[in-house]
Amino acid sequence: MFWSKLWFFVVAIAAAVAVTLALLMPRPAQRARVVEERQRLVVACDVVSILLSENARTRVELAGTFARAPEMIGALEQASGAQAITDAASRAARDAGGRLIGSVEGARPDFAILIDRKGRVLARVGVDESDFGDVLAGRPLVDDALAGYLRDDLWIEKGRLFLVSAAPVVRRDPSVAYTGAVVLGHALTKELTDKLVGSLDVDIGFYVGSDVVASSATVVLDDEALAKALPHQGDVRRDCAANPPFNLRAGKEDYTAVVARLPGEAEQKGAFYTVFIEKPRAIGFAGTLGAVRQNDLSFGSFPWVLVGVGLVLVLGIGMVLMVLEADRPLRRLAADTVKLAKGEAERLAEDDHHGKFGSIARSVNIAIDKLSREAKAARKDLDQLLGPAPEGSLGAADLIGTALPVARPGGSQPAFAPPPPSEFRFGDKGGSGAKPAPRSIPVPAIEDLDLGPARPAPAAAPAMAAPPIAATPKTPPPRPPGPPPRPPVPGTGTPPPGGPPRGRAIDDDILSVDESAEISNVGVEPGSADEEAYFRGVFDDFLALKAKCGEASGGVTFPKFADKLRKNRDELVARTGCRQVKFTVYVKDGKAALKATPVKQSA
Amino acid sequence: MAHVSIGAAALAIAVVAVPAAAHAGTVAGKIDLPPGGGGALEKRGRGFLDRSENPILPVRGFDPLPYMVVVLVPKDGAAPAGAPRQVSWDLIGESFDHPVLPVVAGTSVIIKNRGRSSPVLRATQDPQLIQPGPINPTGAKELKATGGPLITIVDPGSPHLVGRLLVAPSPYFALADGSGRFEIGDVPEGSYTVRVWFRDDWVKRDEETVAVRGKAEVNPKIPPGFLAPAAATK
Repeated sequence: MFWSKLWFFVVAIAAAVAVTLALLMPRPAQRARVVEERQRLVVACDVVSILLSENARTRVELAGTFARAPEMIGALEQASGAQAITDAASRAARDAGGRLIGSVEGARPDFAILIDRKGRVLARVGVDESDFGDVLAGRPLVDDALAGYLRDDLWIEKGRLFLVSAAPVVRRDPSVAYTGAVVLGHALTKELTDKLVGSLDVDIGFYVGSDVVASSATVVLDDEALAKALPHQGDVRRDCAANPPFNLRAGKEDYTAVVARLPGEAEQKGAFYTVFIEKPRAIGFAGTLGAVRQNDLSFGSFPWVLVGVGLVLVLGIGMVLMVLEADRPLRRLAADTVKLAKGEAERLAEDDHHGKFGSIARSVNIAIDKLSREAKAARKDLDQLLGPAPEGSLGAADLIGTALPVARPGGSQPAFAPPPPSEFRFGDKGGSGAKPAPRSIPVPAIEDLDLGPARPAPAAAPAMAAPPIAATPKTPPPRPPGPPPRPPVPGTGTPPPGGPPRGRAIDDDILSVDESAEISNVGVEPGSADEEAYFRGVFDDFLALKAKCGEASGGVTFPKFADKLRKNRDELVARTGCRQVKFTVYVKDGKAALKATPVKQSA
Repeated sequence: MAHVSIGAAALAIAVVAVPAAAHAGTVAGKIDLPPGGGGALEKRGRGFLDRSENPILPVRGFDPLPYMVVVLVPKDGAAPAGAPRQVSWDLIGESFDHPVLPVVAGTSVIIKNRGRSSPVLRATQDPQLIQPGPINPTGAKELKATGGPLITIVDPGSPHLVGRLLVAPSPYFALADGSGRFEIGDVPEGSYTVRVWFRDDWVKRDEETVAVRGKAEVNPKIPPGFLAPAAATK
């Protein structure tokens, strides 16, 4: 069983490892997914920055287109030479600017500002159109454009975030000179945010301080967490890569976000954008199972053959070990016990059995040896009492007590509470050897001896039951000479229906003896002449049976025999509470034997 | 970068700032900028893209003259305090009409908002110098020019909006016009050290003295690298 246990242990360990792996495997995958999502977020932030730069390039080119328009050049040339800007000049320039905006295909600017060489506003288109003449010089974008640069910037006007671009207006005829600048503004709208993240599977929100300017999602992020994560130093262009993603909440949902400052004037007013995604949920073991697709279980994707071979191998090894270590030894032990039961073997072959089975065999053998020793001791006692037995025979009288049925008062049927058999041996001191034998100890079967009709009871013992000798040998020996058979004692033969219970042996064989041949002292008073006669009858029967069995009877005297019967009777009476004891002579293993049966009844 | 009649305004400031004196003379001249002038226009912020030059015409460089003030400091050290006056300083939109305004100590400066926005101005050296609150369009705020020599006026909400008050050590000063010319009138006879203020500090240059008796001419020479380190800020 060692290897079976070891195999079971190995299989259990393997199963535990497999379960542990199954529970652990989602965790690295979850971490990898979180890292991947964070990386994706950073990449998306960078992509957004690139898209915004591309958008800025397009807008700057559009501003250059505006700046090259002849009507713009002419209007700004006139305004730059004038002392003051008139309403008519502003209106004319505004109309020209409106036409240009109307001609733009794609993302039209939300406003256009025409600025003369002195930095004064000639006209506004699309926003505050009635205002003109104020000086916008001083703003970095305007100063750069008036100096000849094309550039972009982000302005915050009236709570709105504008992506602005500017280009210088250059007069080319008759001489090349700067005449002013054109500023175009595109409002940052949800349409633009959706366009920015449309292919990125993320969301984006533009903020000025804690105010949302535009967002692709309707969630309201924790602005404090955003402000806390917002960097205040370093190159704005590296914010996406330099600022690690962080977790924040929006209502009951968890999000992962990365923030990046917006450049230009907007940066100085706390403008930034955040790219965010819903935080990846912990998938766990159940989630991993739920994510398994049918294709994952196909033969092409899963090593079913390997799993099947492994399963068969594990089961096979287990079965082989069970057969080798349990089934076959058990079968051998069972076969040996059958041989033992059939008498084909006296002992179990201990050496043929190993492990626990060997222990069982040894235990059985020990029990057999014990019984054997006890039997030998009993023979020795009987030999001391009745004389030596012939060589090779037991030769002793086995006096085995049997139990009487005990009728439970009020019970519907008699309950058998068999007392321990009264096994005693001649030669026991004080009857201490009469100990109850366990029921589990097998008692050798008693063969009945057919003695023919029961002998009539002697006249000296009219009340003593003289049971017929209950033995039925296969080859009945000739009836020995002796006193005439005693008549059966009333009440000890076939009891009349409803009669009092009578003594019964433990097994059916003994019952049959009780029915047919028995010697009883029912109604015999201890110490009386009847008892003496009854014991004499038993003694005579015993000697006769010994003679019939070809045994020598030397050494057995009636006084010692009667004393033994009396002692045994007294012990049985004291132990079982019976009132009388009957003694039966029978043949056991070809030798004469005696049996004492307590009778719990009145005469 | 205001381009509105700077020369006329400079003369006006010089005339207003200097009290009339007997045997007064006039000091005129032209600021002599180094080759290359103020260099390229400094970068102030950027959008998503770096600025790019237009392909048609070379870009214009930085003009330092509006940020320069010529000041005559008496050699004997006993400069008259000058009469405190009231000076108007216009906010013309996204900038002041004079990016640097020289005044004498104690001058009351009235900042008038001629633009469309409502800036909240603050003196960096002394936040209490200007009454808190925005200046609405057409509105005004008054401040007393004390301390010095520099008082920087900013609008935290519009970082590009910066004005500088120079509390000059003498009442004899003048702004240069677009070509660098300047004229300081009513200068008492005597010997003066010519100092040039640029944006946030005095220009480091060799000491130059001018003797005023009648009309005197001086052309302060500005050494190369005068923008540094002040060039980093406007």
